[in-house]
Amino acid sequence: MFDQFLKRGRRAALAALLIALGLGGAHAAQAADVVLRVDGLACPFCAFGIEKKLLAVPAVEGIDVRMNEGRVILRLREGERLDLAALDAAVEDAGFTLRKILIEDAVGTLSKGGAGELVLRCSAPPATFRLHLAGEDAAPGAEAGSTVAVSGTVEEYGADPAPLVVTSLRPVAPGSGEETR
Amino acid sequence: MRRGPGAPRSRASLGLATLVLLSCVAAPAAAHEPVFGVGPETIYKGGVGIELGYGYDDLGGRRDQLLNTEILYGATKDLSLTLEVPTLLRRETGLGSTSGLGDVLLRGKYRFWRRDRLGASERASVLLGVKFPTGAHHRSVRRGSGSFDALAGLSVAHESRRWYGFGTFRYVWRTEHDGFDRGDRVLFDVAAGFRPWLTEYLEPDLVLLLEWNGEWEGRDRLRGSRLGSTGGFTGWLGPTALLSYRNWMFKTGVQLPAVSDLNGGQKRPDLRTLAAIEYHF
Repeated sequence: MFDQFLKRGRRAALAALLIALGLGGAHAAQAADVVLRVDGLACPFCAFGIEKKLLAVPAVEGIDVRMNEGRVILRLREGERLDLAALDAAVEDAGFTLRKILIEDAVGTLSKGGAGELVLRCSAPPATFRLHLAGEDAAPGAEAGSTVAVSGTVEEYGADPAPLVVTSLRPVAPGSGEETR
Repeated sequence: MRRGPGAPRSRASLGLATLVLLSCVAAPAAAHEPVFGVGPETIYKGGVGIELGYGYDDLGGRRDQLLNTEILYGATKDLSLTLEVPTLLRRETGLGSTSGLGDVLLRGKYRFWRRDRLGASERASVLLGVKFPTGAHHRSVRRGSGSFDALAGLSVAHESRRWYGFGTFRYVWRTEHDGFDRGDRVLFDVAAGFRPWLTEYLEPDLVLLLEWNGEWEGRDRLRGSRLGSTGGFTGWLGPTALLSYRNWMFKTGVQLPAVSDLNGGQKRPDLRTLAAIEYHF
């Protein structure tokens, strides 16, 4: 019995070392930051409803509520598709108003949509956005086939792909490691 | 998809039965609202709240120790149902004492208006309720009125990170039972409060309130004749506090009769107190 205990301990120590060295398997994709701007968040006790409802959305693993900023920061579950309409419904069912969704540093590949607009396909979280750019000069290097990191806001949640009003867009160099995000 | 005509009714019956059952096996519920009054708040869709409260009322000619159990259910994001089950631990009057189940109240609250802003919200709800004659009423000391009573009201509130304001008006129609007809009641509540520390989620949160509860009651009638020493007006005033952490809330308060204008030779009430704990899940 003591031998088994020692074996398990050695195995755990080896696993910890491998993880520390980055050899523990495939890199986990690092998700974009998704923040909800919620109106009506006045009391922490009532905010429990938002926790309860958002955690029922499959893509949401955890939340961090910032009462004084009216923000709810989402921790996303790997591999689950981000359904913006479900986030909107969850906030509404909790009795609050979703003002906008802030997407920060969503890394993906650009392609051309049916109407010639730019579409961003991200892997972490799996989501597709139709980009709204202020002008071509606002996003140099934004062309189909390129990999970019985009930040912006979404205010219409029902459309697929959701329209993302871009506040910043930058190219991501291949091999930089960011493209795994 | 269309359903058979019996489906909604059976579902409603099942829901009511569940509420009643829960009230028997579990303890206590409401939301962020005044301790002695009612606010327009509704619980989130599908949410359940349980509240267990202890109250001590010295109403002059009557002293009550009360265990109040409330079960709250969010049928939709705008509609909350509350089942209120009062249990008298002890009621003392000049005629003797009693204890046991009081009159059960089923109340619905529909929030018909909401305006949300950053860190603030204004809300308005209509209230409808029915009180059932579940308390014993064929004794010298009664625990219930013996009548089915109806409640209707309107409640509005402003709630922000720092300030609270509530205003509620309720009217209670009391029906006749065995020739005895208690006077209708009019209740109007005003409460103002503030949060001394702007705490974040998952931190203990304190809200302090000053509550005013005006209660006017019509004269009772016995076989059509008005009874002299019944009815009148009492205006209660006192501080209350709400202390919450995540989905737990502790609430307490005390009220004194700031104004008392009772008909006939009724004794002036002295005070009422309440301490309750509420849990949402």
